[in-house]
Amino acid sequence: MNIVVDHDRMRVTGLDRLGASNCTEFKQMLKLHLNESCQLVEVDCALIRFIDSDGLGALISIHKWLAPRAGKLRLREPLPVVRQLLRLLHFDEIFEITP
Amino acid sequence: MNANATSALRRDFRSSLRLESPCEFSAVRSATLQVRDWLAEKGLSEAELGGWELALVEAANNAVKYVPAEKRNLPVVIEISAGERDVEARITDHTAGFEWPEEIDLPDVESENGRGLFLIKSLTDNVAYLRNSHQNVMVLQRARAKVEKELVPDSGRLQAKLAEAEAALNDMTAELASSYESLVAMFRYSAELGAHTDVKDFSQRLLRDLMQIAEADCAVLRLLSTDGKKLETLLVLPDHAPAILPPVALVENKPSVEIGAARNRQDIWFDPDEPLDKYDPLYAVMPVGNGICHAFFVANQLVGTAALGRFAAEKPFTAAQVNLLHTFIDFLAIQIVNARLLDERTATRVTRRELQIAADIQRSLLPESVPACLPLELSVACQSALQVGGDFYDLIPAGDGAVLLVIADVMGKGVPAALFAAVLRSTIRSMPQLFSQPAELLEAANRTLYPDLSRVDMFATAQVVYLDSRGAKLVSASAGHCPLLFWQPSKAEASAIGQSGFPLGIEVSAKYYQTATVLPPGSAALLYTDGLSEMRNAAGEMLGEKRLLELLARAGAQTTDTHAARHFLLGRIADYCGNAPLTDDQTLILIRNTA
Repeated sequence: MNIVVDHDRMRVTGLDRLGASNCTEFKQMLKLHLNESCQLVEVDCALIRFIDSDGLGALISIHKWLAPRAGKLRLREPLPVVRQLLRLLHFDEIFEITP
Repeated sequence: MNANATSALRRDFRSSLRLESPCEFSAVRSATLQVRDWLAEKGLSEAELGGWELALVEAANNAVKYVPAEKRNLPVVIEISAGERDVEARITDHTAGFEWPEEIDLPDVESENGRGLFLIKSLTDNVAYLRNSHQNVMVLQRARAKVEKELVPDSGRLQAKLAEAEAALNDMTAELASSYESLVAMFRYSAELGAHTDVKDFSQRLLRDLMQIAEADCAVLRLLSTDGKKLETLLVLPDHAPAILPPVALVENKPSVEIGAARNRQDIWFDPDEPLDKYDPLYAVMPVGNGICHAFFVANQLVGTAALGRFAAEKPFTAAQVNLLHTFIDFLAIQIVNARLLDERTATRVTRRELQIAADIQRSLLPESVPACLPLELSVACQSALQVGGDFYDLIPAGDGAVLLVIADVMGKGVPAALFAAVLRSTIRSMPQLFSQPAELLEAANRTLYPDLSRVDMFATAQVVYLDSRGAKLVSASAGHCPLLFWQPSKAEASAIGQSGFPLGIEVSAKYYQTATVLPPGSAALLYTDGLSEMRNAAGEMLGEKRLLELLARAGAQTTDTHAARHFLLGRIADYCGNAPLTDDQTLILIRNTA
């Protein structure tokens, strides 16, 4: 997992899965690099072929950290299987999913 | 999950996979990936694989997340089976468990938790959560997607499935054949149960059959020794002499899986990863490969051990083959114990017959009739505690109206005592020139018998009485025997007369003394063995010489008939003892002057 912070944007790449076994590390790493000026967190989902409820919980956690600061979480290019899951759980209503 | 769903699972041919995973997130994740790969081999679509992967991860994560600390060492078990119509998974957890909710709604969209069960339910057709006190099982079932593959057969996959079905059919056929062979062997052996079969021959045949059916290369059968201290080799198959396996003592602390199995009452397995110790005696027969050692018991008593070995490292014994070993060897154990019981019964029968013969011989040595020496009259009784006893008596006509009375008690009972009684009888009968001198007779008999009696640490007591009818006189001598009791009508009480010397066989140059007594008309004298005076009543008190003297006086006063007096004596003694069974031989000779 790589994290690049550029002014008010953070970009997360290199994730191939997000589940119970790595979600705690994911949350900790992101919160370590987040600062008050951060307005957008982009998670590159192109390689993520598996995500479970704990992984989704971690995304919610980041979302909740950003929301009071008018920031947002963007999930980039999720695979169909992940997109389907996000839709099933109505996460498409709170995250920005592109494209 | 409803009942129809579970019962439907078994209608088609299924294959299954079972995984035990350490109770950690990363480990259960690896396990679910293995399951995914396995399901891919079964032909599930990518969408189905994704659904099963997520459902299993959610179920397994719950098993890890909520397990109490003390059960974290227990594995999470994932079992999955796939058929043509559906897939079923079972996830076993050791958490406190929960009630599966009737309705599962999504939590608030901003909640970080609470979506796992919703996902599981969404991704499967049926879910059941079975709880018990030790563990819980989540059962997931989902129908397989209908794909066009059925219309356009994939020949490669069809061939693979055909091969799989053939392999399964071959396994089933082999198992059926093995079961058939086992049953046939059992029926054959059943016919021999209870028969007097040679144990080694029977064991050899049974072990050879077992080796063939269980596909073993070698076998060792040991039996517990008669002293119960060691395991002795009965058979080593094939083509090994039992001598190459010396006995092993049960108390030894040397490496031996046979002793381990016998002590712990548990089968012991060995294989290339955990081979036999080089110093284990069994190593000489089973140095490589796989093996199992089984100790067998009957009525909780160790009978022996049986070990089976297979030289191929990659072919451990299957559970079915181990069951076969147990069945065959339990059967063998029964036959071994039966054979031993039959041997013991035969030996007992032979001993009883020999005792009967000895008793017949002993009876034949007793006088057939009582010699007349009027006015003196004799009445005799002799009872043996065993069929063969150590008491004996003899009545030998000594010419001129004289009779020699001998009453003796050889130490001990049974055949050895009876043998010496016979020897004593012959020895005395061989010295007629000494009949009138009982003391000299005893000294001579003692010198003759001493070497034989002392060699086997035996001895005999004897009372010899020379009865002279002409003067109603008796001359007696005793070798450690009970005293002669004497009663005459002019006196109220009876008394013991004579002086006793060493029993025969104690002292080679023993001296004996003789006493001459005249029996007045109506008087009586009693010779007896200690079996009579040592009879005990219910309180454990011995009859004793004093009571016997009283009884003799009462018998003498009661009747002038000699036989009636003997009956009176025996009757009162029986009353005293409460008709208790004899514990020692009893012999008495009653002498009465009937003038």
